[in-house]
Amino acid sequence: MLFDARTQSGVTIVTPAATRLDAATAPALRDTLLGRIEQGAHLLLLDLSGVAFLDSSALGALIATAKRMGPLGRFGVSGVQPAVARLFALTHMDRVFSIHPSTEAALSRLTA
Amino acid sequence: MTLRGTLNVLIGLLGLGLVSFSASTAFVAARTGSALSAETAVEQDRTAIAELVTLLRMADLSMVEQAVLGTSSRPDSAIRATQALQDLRGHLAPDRPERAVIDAVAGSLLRNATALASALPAPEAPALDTWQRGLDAQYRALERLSDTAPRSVLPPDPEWRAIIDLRDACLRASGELIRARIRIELRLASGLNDNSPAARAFVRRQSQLIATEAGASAAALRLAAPMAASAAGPARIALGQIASFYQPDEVALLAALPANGITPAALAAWRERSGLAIDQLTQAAATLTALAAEQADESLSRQNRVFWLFCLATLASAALTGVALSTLSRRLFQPLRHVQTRLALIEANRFDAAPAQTDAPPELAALHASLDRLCDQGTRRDRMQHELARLSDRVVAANRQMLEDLEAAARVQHAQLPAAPRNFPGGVFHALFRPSRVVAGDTYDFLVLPDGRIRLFQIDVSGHGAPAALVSIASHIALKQALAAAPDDPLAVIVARVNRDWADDLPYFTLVAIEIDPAARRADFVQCGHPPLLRLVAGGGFETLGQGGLPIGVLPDAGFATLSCPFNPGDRLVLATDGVTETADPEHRLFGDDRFRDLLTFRPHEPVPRLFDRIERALWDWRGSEILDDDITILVLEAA
Repeated sequence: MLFDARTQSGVTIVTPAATRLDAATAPALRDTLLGRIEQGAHLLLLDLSGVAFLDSSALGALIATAKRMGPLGRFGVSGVQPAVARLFALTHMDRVFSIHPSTEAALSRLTA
Repeated sequence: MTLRGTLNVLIGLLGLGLVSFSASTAFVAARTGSALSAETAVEQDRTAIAELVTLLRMADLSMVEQAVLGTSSRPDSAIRATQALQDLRGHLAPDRPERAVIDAVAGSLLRNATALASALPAPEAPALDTWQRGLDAQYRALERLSDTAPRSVLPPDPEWRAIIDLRDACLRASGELIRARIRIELRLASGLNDNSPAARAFVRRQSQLIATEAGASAAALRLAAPMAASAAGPARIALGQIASFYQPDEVALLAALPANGITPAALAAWRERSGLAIDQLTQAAATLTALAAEQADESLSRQNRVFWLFCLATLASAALTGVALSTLSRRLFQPLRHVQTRLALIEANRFDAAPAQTDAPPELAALHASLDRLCDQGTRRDRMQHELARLSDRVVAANRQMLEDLEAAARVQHAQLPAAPRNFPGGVFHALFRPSRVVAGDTYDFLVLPDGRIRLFQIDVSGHGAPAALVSIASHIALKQALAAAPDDPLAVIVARVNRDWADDLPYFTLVAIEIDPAARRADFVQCGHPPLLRLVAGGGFETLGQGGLPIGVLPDAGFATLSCPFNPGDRLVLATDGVTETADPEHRLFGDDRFRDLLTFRPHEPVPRLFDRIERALWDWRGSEILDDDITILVLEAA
């Protein structure tokens, strides 16, 4: 499995097994996240604490997820590593989905 | 050696062995038979000679009896002897040396007989002596003839040889008896009538000879007796009996002879017994001769039977070998060759040309069934391969078509791009464009507004290849039209318009748009998710411009900010897509912002084309290949 998914306090947490999310893994990432929304996950968190690199293709998957979620629920990411944080800052992704320092913080904010 | 060769040689050798055994047995039988014939022929000559001697002796005895007694017990013996002599002579071929001997014997006998006849009825002692010596010489000559007759080299049949030996012994014994009889008769005749010294000397010598010859006849009988006793069937003749009834009379006679004290009765008895013994021995000899001839015939016919039997066996062995070889060829080698031919055809993929043998032996029929299945599989495989090849051709053709389409698309895409380097009123525009595939997700354009201002944009659609290229072309058109259509609107307003109009289901793209006012020596720009601009200051050093911004196509109602920076002579504004800094080495380490900036600032006044070369080589070195993962675009605006 490329992605591990679990539900905690009503939040579906998806954790990628890979340390790189790029053009090769972006379609699977997109399918996994959109699939969760289709299955009714309205609180969705992507744990990026193990991801060192994320390229524009993977970013496209996150943007698509945020667009699909829209007013249905909330989508956020947590555990963002420096290189990924730079990309998010450059592209102002904090306006597209919520970015949390840790999974615990994300859980409390998403379920609030 | 091949299996066929081995089996043929083995069967051939077996057949050859059988044939040669049969043939050699037949040959031996033929040789034995021919030797037997030769030996029988020789034996017939010897028999004739031996019988002749006996007849001659009898003739002598008859003559002596005639002379001494005036009568003979065998009156016709002289005629028979003469007849036998003529027969033998006629029987022998003219070139046989024995004929000369026989002729000499015949002449000598005639002279002897004449000499004796002239001396009768009262023969003188010297005449008798001479006559007897002459006879003995002739008999010895004849006996030598018999002894020197050629014998077969093959070992004779022992039983047959025993009969012949016994017959010889009988004849010899009868001869000795006759000689003793003649000697005694002559002694009696001469002793009674003559007292001269010569007669006495003759009588003395006769007496000695009588003693010797009586001993010889006794010895001959003694020798023959055990042979007769051990002989089989009809050959068993009681020679011992002859000796026992004849011997005592002779001994008594000889004892009485020197004193002339023989009674007429004893003499008569001796003569009768002697005659009886001689007759019995001669008859026995005749019986044995007949028996030997019969046995020889039997042996010969036995050898003949063996000869023909093994001749037949030779032919049968040869025929059997031929049949075995031909059966082996028809039932084994020909079917095997058929299988071999079939396998070769199958190996050559000629499945239709390799039908099974219909009358193959059961073991090979199973093999043929397997080969049938192989043929079926082969035919199916051929069909499949043919189909695959056809599909492959189609795939190749489709791929070629697709590649041609992509190349056409790339030509369209490249046609969108402005020529570079290009001078504009306030400076020079440079571009380095390296798509990672045929078509690119990166694009850019350069416009000169009617009032001399310059507008420039650089787009990076996420991903690369055909989908990204299509979006790239669409975004290019949207941007170009928007920038050209509203020369007086601020950049941020134009970009916000493009963002709002960008279809929600299309991928997002990052963008940087610049407007340069050469007169004001100022550059305005809007940064939408694109890496920051770099301003390489004419006097040295650099400046990172922009705090990022939302890409186009993410949030429709997003607002954008216009930023500004100086554009003084010698300044260089550098716009690069993230493909440059995100070029990864084999360990996935990124090339990074710092290395890129170092390359840009290393030689501040280096001509831009050389700078581009250096950057490109540095990226290849970092990647370890000239094929990069992402599109790369670097645009440089150099202020004049």
